[in-house]
Amino acid sequence: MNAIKLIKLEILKYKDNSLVQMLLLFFTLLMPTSIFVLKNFDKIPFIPGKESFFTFPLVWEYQAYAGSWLSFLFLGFLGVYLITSEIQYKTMRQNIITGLSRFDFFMGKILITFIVTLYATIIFYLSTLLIGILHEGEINIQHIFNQQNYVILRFFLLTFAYMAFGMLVAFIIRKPALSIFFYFSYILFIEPLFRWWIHLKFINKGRSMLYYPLNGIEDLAPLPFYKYVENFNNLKDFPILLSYTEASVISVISVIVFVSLSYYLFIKRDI
Amino acid sequence: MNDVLTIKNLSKSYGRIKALDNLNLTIEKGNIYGLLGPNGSGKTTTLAIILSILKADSGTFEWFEGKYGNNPRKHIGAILETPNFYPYKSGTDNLRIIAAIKDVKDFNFDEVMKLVNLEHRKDSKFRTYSLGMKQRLAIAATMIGNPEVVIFDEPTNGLDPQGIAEVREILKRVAESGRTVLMASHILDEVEKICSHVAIIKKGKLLSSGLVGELLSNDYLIEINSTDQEKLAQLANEMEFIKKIQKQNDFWIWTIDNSIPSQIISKMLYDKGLTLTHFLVRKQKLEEEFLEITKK
Repeated sequence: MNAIKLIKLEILKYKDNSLVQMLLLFFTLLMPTSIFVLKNFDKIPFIPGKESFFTFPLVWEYQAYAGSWLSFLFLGFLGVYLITSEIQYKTMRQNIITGLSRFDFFMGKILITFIVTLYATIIFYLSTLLIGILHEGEINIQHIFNQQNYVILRFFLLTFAYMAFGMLVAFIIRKPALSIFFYFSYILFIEPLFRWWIHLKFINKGRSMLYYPLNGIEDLAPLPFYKYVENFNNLKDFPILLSYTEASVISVISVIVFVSLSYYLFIKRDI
Repeated sequence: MNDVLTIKNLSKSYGRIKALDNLNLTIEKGNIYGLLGPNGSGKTTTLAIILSILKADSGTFEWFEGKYGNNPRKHIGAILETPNFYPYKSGTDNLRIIAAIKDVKDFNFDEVMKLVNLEHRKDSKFRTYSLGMKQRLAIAATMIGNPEVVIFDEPTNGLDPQGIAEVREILKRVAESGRTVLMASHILDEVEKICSHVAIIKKGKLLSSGLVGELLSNDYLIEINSTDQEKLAQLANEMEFIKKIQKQNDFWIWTIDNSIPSQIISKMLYDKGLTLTHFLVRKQKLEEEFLEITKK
């Protein structure tokens, strides 16, 4: 089956699914609005002026950071749901029985992940552009697009990575509630605990504790606030934030591993 | 092309349990096959393997003599175990998904919904359907794309008597359409009424296969009872042509060699002065043959 048909099939499956609609709606509504929470603060510590968050170039970084949380919360969740729902309803099984090859089924999921990621990136980019332009005194094209540091590519990569990780977790665990629990637990607790405790204590005390998949993905869009906190990046004997290049390399490798492992499990296992 | 499906030496284990043990089976075009076996005999495992849901440990199977390559399933309509659909979508929308997978364009969904008596609920969400309606939607799904082979796995499982009657009626219509049908069931009455051929499996092994008529032996049965139980037993022992005597509920069942007409037996009993309270001559049922074969 060609790519267009697979995308159409996935859209047909989910177009009237209320959970999918809700997750996409939350992302779409919160992406352009969550930044306005900052307006409630009179002063943000360490930051020269809170208005700088709303203007270029800092707005790119803050929006990417806020968007990374939204991607993690809503779109990664969607990645888990896209697989576990098919397992739970046994429609994955029925799709194969009906005549979809396993490769086509898997490609359908990758393609819909790509489409959702593309949509999220467009929402991120347009909303950020709009917020920045509305808060700039005058429109200076060069100023707007300077110092983006490939933010659009970083945002696309991190969203795709969260969704791909969600799908991998779903392919491994298969049970919906357990998969969601593990997805959030791994990112919020398991990997950070492993890095900061086991890795530092038993494996290596150096910077290698940063080279973990989800840490790499998170550091694609770190909180820009860190930049203004003196010596924050030197809390240890080494900078605790990855450079964008390092984070990008780790994220690309992670995505390749997530997708390959998911495919391997899907092909090898009984359905 | 004559053989629709050829299964060779198929084996599958779940841990220590051997679900299939070197199973061999050939399904020919146009036949209506009943795959019979007690619960846990390997019927669903067999169907799951030939539908590429489970992977066999060893052995091979080939659909349509390899005519459609690696993915012949677009030419097969199948339900395995329970009907599996997207619960938040309507019956018709679920059929649209099936049609999209099968690359079927311009399909008349209303017509097929009418065929399975679901036209009044075609726009209702699948999760609101009763079990019988779900089963009927699954049968409708197997019709999409006019498949050469239709597979049903316990199609009347869990249905109430009315649901069973409705599904059976639809299955008969499917069988009459000239398609090759493979139906797994443990309800023998169902198989006997619908199928032309039968394959009996137990513990993953093929015990017997062939035409339903061929499988049933030529012996016939007499259901009999008398007020004089002692004399009845004595006479039964004297009649050498009685192959088997079984007690069932309020009467005895004698299995009689086909060469002895029932009138002779009736006359013999009358001549001996035995007063009968029950006397019924009938053919063997598939159920009895099935129990006989699976007992071995």
